[in-house]
Amino acid sequence: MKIRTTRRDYTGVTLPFKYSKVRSKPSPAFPNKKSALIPLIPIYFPLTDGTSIGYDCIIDSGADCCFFHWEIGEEVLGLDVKKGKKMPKVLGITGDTFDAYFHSIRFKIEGWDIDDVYVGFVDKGKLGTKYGILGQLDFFDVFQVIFEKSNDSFKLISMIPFEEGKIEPYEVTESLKVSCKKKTNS
Amino acid sequence: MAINLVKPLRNHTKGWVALSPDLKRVVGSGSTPKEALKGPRSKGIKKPVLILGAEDYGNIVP
Repeated sequence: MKIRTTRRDYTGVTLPFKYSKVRSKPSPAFPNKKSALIPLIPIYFPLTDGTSIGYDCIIDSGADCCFFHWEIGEEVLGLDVKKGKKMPKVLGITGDTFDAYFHSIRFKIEGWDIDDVYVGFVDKGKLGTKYGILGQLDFFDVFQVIFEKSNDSFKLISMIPFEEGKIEPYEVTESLKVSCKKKTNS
Repeated sequence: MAINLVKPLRNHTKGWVALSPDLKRVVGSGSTPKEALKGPRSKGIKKPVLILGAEDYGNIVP
């Protein structure tokens, strides 16, 4: 993993984030619980048309690797996901397993361009979370994460030197091409 | 203060949801990212954020 930036930043730069408040169902164990706080950050995939597509991801120190939804790989990044390197029978916390196909990708977090991140794209419907997972390999390797839940916040601190430059944007996939209706003058 | 996703996602319990860049409102939804992004991209929204809709985001162990 590499961090690129067009700013003159150095190792140890801190990015602050806020926890996300999400819907949660009450249960006998927690009868008053209607919401939960989770550490989500949006990552962004820049496209060649000057726009970006964001994708909410959870920071998960219990995950070995980063795992994203299949559809993000195919429809947003234009990957042939099944051509990635297969990690079969990844074990989830419930004991269910899934296959993941790894590709090296790039994305932005705030002003940082993150290059060469090895991410597993998970079989459709098999990634149990509703957001991507940022895990140990290629995320916790390079960011120190400080959680301050009492303050509704957490921080990422870069641990590796930055390189000059930006990541290449992704070509707009067929799935994302928008047809614009031509205006006719009457 | 935490980012409140309870309010914008309250009517979305399944499928893909595209949130506005400030995460305060839903700008698109559908069964795929392609469908969810169709509306915001055609309106020129430059940085929509994707998440899946769910009845319950909190009672999980990722």
